[in-house]
Amino acid sequence: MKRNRNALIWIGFAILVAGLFSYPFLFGVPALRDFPWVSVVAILVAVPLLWIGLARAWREPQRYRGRVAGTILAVLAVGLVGFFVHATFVGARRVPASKGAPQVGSRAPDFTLPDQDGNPVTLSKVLLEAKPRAVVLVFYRGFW
Amino acid sequence: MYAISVDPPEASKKLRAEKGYTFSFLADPKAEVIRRYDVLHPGAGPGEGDIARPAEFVIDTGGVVRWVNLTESILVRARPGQVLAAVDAMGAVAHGR
Repeated sequence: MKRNRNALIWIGFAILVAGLFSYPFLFGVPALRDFPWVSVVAILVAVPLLWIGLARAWREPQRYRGRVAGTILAVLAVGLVGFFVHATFVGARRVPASKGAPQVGSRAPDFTLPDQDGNPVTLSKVLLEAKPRAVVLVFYRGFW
Repeated sequence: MYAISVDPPEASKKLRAEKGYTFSFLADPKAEVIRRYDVLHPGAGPGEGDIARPAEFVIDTGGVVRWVNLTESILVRARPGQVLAAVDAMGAVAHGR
């Protein structure tokens, strides 16, 4: 008897990989960056598909293929989900407390730094000369 | 508005041109100002280098900090609307002085 291809395993794994790897590409959308909605939905869809595919491969090996491939992909899937969840919900939250950062009401420490063209920018000078309504300082991780 | 990181000016110049940003980028390769503001994230950069953690400050004309955002996750940043609201709220108070 010809055994059926076990597409659920492959579809499930493909959805999972696409869902997890799409995350960095969605950083332009703040709501999708703050919480990885696409990836979480992909996990919720992919895991049952993989599970059903794997279960039927083992329960009915005479009807369905995929015992070996399914097991390998399932192990990979567990690893990928574990890594993703840890990185986004644990690793990303390991941020220094910054207790000594200037607080509301305190004076912003003055500084001079070169801008993108190498011209020095001094905070106190900008405040005095340009008289802006406000100065916004955005510290970011860099290495874009 | 100034964006501050350990990136050298050339890298920021390229990024700025590529993305079409109009605000200035300030280079703090030795993380001196980043340390002064206590927003250093030690060893978090490539090759365990020290970089800035994400943080946003709104400063008024008098040089006083009026709004601070220190995120709990590097994936969650201040939204433009939040910053603009902070500046607007500040304007109202400053006007009354």
